[in-house]
Amino acid sequence: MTLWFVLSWSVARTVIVSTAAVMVGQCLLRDIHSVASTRWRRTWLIAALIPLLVPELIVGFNYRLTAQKLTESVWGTELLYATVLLIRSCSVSVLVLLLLPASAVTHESIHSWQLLNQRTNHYRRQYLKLLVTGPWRAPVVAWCLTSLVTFQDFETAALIQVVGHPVVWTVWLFDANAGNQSLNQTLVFIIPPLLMEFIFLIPGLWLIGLDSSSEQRTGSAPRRNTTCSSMWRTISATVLGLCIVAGWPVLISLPELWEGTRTLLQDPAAILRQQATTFGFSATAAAVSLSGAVLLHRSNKTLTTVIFLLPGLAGSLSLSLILMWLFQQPGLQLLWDQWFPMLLGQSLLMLPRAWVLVLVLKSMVTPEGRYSATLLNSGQPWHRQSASRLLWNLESIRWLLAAAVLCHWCTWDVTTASLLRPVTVEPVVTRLYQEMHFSRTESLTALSLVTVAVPWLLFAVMTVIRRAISYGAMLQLRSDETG
Amino acid sequence: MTVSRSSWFLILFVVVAMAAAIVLPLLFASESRLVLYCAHDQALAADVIERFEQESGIQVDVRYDEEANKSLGLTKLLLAEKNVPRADVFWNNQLLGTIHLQSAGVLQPYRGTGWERIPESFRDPDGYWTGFAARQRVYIVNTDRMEASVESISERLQQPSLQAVAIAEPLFGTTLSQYCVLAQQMGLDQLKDWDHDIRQRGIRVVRGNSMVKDLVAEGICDMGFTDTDDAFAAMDSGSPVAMRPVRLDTGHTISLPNSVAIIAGCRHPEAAQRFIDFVLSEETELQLAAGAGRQIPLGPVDRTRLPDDLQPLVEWAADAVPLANAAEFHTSVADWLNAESTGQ
Repeated sequence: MTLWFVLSWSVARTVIVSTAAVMVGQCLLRDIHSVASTRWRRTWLIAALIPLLVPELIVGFNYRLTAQKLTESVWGTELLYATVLLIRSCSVSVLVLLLLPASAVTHESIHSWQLLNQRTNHYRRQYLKLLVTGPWRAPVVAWCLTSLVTFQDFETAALIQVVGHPVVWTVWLFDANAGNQSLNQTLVFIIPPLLMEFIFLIPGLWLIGLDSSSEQRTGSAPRRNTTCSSMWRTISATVLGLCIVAGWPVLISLPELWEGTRTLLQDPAAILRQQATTFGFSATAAAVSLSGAVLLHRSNKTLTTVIFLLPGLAGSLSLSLILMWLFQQPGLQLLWDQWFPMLLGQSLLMLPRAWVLVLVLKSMVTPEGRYSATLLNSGQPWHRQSASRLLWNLESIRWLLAAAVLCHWCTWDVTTASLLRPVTVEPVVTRLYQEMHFSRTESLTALSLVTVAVPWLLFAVMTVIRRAISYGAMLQLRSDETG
Repeated sequence: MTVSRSSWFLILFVVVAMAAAIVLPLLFASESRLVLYCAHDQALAADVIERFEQESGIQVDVRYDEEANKSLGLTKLLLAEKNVPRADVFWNNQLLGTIHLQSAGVLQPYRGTGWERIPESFRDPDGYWTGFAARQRVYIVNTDRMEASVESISERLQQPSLQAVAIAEPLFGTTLSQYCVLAQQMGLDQLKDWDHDIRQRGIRVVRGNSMVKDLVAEGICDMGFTDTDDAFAAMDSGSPVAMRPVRLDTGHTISLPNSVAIIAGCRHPEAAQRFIDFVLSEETELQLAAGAGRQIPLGPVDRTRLPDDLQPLVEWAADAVPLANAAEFHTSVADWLNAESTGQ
């Protein structure tokens, strides 16, 4: 198979999956917005976004056997892969649609333009422009970013691929490099797919650039009354998606959890070492990317932002291969086999996601709430204490949560860790890969559970510590007052 | 957005992370004394390395291969690092890649006590590499679907359709070694014809030997080409499978030894020599024979200490074709397969 053949196949799949994902995403978001109860609305939104947090490695491994049973059917394998991709892409699409600022083009202006109803070229061009920058804007941007995520998938494809299907350019590229091609030749092969990724991105970047000053977000669109059918549609789609990517893998793994835990406990020091190393790298990369994203948002320069985000948007395989080549050059060879390449790779990979998360954080905090907390902060000690608690609830805990999410994504990225890690570092995810290879599902299940839990557990611990400190300070204040 | 407020927590986060990344590993590890690149399966090699650490007091930093999907291959990595090597020893799970490294000037010779106990056909005369603990190339057969006899295997391979037969992608690993042996036996052109023929007849070319094992164990395929360690894994898990050796027209079997070598210009040559003598010892070969992979000892061992199911494999290994000559075909076979795969 030539590169052009696999690229064409991958592009066709990407176009179909992304188009479907945006359509489903729009329906889901509309239905979620129509839910009257804030609590239920939030619950469904989180449920719709959960597939983004399910490690691709786990999904790919659990559907490997299903893929094996489909080996006689090319289309069956392709359909399985496309379904798994579609579920993740729907989440991406929901997230983008949720975050995107509403267009400045109102329905009234489009309606007014329609009333003109002229048949000149100028009229048609302007009408099209209004549509693209108006009602089509959010779906087009969502489509661009969803396409990017779909197009650069590697983990799932590599694990699901059994007999040459699904045809995916990332697997082809990896095989070419792992075969007999030099790294330089592989980097030449990367150029067409990278160009393709830019082509996917260009309309989105153009549309975002056109109207970056708008503050209103589609996520805050007015609610409609919920209908029974739309509610059922949302529930069915979300539950089905969750069952496929999370429910089924968990269900078939649970019986082996006890045995796996016993296996892991035979060498707890090794597990602790791997978890500590992995968490150390992931947390640092998360913090670096989050700080970088904050700086990019502060700079407010579109071109700078795009330049910094592009390496991460190129995907983990392309990014890691390029960094690997870079750090094997004479001037930088000293840094090879150090922690820096891996940390840089993970930070760059996470930067676009961190940028999106900062956008989410910005959209969640109301200026009024923050202002009230700031005013309180300048008052009496008791007020300052309340302000501190308020600011924690309004901001700090959300930042920590964002860091935990990034940390989770970083931990589960096999490609960057595998290609850029120093000899002395063994991230837990590479060990998981070994467990997978030997089908040691018991220890794989237990180790996966521990790995999933670590960032969230530390997040919980930090939250509890913060609350304890706050409670201690409050008790101190009370005792001072009574004394 | 008040960044200054949250930056405090970010700093705290970074500090905790850095502490975890730097301090905790230090608590569990002493100073590095030997860097080992190990392509052998981690689950099987870890016990041997641990025993070496206990007996020698030398700390070993290991980089394992992460299997076909993830790894760019330790062989390629060693070639890339030729001028600034970071590995001291390479423990390869096969031989041809190691011979390729020798020809590329990556290895340095060592003829120690371990080298002396291995038969000549499994070691380099100058000591650039030494083979030990082999696997066999075998047919894995689902016994619910067909009889695991030489005749029925041969008959199945002659059938017009090979839809029920699986083989791993020959670009990597031991299937590449099998192709190199076949190229040596029949010539590259005939090998190409054979490969073309089996693909035309619909053989399932999958991503690795373990996938072949899974397909046969699950009954999706009747039989396939794999290695003894994968076949034993299926048998141990209770799958209805049996194995028979792949035999060439000459009657030879294909034995795929592990190999060890010292990296030229390495930083810890003395530790490297100690490790090599250790892995080439009788005890290590017996340990690997008793493990889940049932590696076949190549040096003289007390055969009463071998597991029962390994006894026939020792006989098969005695018929093995010498691999050193097949190494000459490594580059040409790999180039051809890569051109086929990438369409270049």
